Amino acid sequence: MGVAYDTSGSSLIVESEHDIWKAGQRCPDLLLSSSSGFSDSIRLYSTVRYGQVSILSIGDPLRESWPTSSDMCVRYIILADKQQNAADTNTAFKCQDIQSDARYVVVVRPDMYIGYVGAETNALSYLSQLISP
Amino acid sequence: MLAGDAAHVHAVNGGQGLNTGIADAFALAWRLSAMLDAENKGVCGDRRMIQSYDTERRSVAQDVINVAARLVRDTVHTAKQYVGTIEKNAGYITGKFPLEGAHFMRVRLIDFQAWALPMILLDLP
Repeated sequence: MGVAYDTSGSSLIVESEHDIWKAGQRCPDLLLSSSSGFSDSIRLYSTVRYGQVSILSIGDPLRESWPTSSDMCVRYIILADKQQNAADTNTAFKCQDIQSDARYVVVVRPDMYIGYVGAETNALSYLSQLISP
Repeated sequence: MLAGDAAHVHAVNGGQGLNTGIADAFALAWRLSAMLDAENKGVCGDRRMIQSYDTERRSVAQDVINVAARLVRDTVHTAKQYVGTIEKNAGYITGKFPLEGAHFMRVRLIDFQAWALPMILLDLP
């Protein structure tokens, strides 16, 4: 179904857009490979539990202090296919739909709709609307 | 909180109602959980969380209702045309032609499925 919330005027959608991500649209179900290759690739949605807020850090690890108390706030690092891994080799995924120069953070709501995509500090502040401190 | 048919009433055309109701629940459950989580922590839940359920799902419900309404209006229009044609040709179809004094056959539309297949009952005198 083509349901999207970007024109609804909702306060839980912050107008923003980068590459394949647009706030108010459903998060793409990316095919993710672990750093060792695509032989054991998985779909993003298959890793998500209902109720989970997903923080997708594109191109770089996160720098700010994100809440770690809630197990329903799960962070992902997703790199472009050709990108070299920085630190955290084990926790980074690769994806062929990522541009190699992309650097931003996507906040995906539990209903898999994108709430915000953009700078990490703004993403952190948007998160406080979803998860209380 | 309202969800499903309690929140949006429309004709069956398009088969959208069940999906929309399930999607309402899918949209509401995580929000309620977030509000309860805040309560458990002793903080005030953000009202915008619940308000956004209404804003977002209301916009969807409106679109669903509009589509169903358009479809059912087309359906009624088509049905009336169809019944009209049946009535004009009832004598040919049944081989029974009205005799002087006898009443005409009535064609009754007794069931009209969402996919526009009318079931016609011919009332024979």
